[in-house]
Amino acid sequence: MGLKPLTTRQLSKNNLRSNPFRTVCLVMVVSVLSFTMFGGAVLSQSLKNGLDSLKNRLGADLAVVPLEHESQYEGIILSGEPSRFYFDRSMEQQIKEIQGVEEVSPQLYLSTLSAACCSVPVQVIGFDPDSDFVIKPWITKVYGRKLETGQLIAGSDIVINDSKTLKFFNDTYPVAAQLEKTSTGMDYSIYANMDTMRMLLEGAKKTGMNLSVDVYGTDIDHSISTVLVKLKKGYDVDTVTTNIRRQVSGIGIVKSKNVFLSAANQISVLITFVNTIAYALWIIAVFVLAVMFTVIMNGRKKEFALLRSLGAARVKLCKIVLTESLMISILGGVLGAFLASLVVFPFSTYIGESLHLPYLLPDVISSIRLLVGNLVLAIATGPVAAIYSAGKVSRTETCVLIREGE
Amino acid sequence: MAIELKEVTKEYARKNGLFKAVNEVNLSLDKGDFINIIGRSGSGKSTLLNMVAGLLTPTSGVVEIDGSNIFSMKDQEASAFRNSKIGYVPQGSSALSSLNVLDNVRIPFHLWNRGKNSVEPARLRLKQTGISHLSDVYPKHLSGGELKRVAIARALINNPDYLIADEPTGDLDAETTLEIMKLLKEIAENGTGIIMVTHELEVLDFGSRTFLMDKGKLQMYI
Repeated sequence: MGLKPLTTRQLSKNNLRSNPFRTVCLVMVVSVLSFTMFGGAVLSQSLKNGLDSLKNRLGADLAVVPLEHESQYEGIILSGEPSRFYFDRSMEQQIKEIQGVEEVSPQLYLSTLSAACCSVPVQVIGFDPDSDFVIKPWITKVYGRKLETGQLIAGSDIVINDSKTLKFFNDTYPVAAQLEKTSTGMDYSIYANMDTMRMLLEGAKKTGMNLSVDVYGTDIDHSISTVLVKLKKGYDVDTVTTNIRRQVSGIGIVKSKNVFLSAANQISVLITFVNTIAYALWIIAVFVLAVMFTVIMNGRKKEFALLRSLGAARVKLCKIVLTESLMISILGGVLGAFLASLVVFPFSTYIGESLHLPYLLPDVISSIRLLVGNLVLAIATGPVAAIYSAGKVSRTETCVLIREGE
Repeated sequence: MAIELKEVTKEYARKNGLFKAVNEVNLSLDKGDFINIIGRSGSGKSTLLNMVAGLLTPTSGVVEIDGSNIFSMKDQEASAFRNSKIGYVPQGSSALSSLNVLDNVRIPFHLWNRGKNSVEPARLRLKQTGISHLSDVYPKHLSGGELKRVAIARALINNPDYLIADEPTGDLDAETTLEIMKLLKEIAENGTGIIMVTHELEVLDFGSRTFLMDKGKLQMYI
């Protein structure tokens, strides 16, 4: 019946409804913009978060590994690819005595199997609680007590059953806690102390699996995979690396800053690309909408002339044009952000894996901030693009509008 | 109280100098008066009408409506003044396609704050113009005569003192023309002053006076 007062908003709404194709086209332009901007913002933020997480979790300045196993070590850190490599434990003591080394801590790596004996094929990282300076701080955050022998700590992406246990080599181990998500390979790893590692090896032997942690013909007590090194204050990474290479042979050295810088460089390129696309699209969207609004307003001269002849002030015409553009922007902005949410949040794991980079979604508050920022920008797009048309329509002499509208 | 035009001139710049579309026109319209203006195309009729309606600023001269010079007012004030004092019936079809008949008639009521109830006055004007049964219909389903009635009902919703009609019977058949002219005469008899521009000599008898516009000059038509 149309009994509502014919306010500016109501007139604008009626106009948009009466031209569904035109309205849908305009809404689509804004929604594509909103989709790209919000999706891009979440992607960029996730990569930044992943990088920060990687930086925090690397912990050690250097990792000493057996010769030619540097890339495998990086694979474990970045993507949790199961891997095994060993050298003699005496290396730990040799490295500790080198000038510039503050602390060392050994780690032992095992890979479980994709077989009936094991819940999941993962990297198991054994650490020495007495010397460790890397893993314990994370564990303390989620499990305030001492990790007992036989207990495991699981990375955030390890699927654990209801009884909070994992089965490896037919033995069941309780999971004391699960770490927070880091977006690195650590999310796909299991952590245990050296005694628990020994239990795992025993289990493997019993089930007939040959894990052979004895490259030097020794047993677990004499084999390690990595020696993590923390430098003394004032010592340079490159100098200490040279010192280690001079005094210890048959080793490879991975500098944490190189792992970080490599990821940081890739992420920086990607973020620059995403941001460039988003800003370029914003400029294009404003331009496209400005052209569309100008064409549309030219086609509506008769309508504006009529309103003016009925007593509408110039500012009223301006308000009608801007209200319509605002409504279009709100619809497009919300639609685009909603569609982007359907992609970036549910498929974050897939996106992270596809990029082969640390990828950590922003928390709820940060996501809401990004959403609000994106909506403000998307919603402003329509009125910004329509300002010229609105001004032109309201400035034109009414009799010219009448003449041109006929 | 009336519309008074004193020495009103409108000039346009052309290649070969200034062109006077309206040249020193004097005219007075009282409430209840019904004036016809005839003339050839391009004689300045519509320009004059637009100045009377406050839509076009004269180059010189004064247009006073009930003692107020609309062109000395700011746009907001002038628009509100026009909205309350003048009903305007444009040439041709002038309904907004996005609104039904009732809402088209209600528009002038809501352009300025007059409270919320525009439905009753709109229905009254629809009844007066004989199109009550069309209130929910959209313009694309109306005939030319019906559209003209919608324009007249819309022009009357704010109870204006003056009605300005630009060829209200143009492109209508004889029967519909007669009905529209009877309606306009009735409106004038109820106290609304009307200025109507027309090309049709057969409708002149409905007005009280007729003027001829020729090359921008207005003169009485005998």
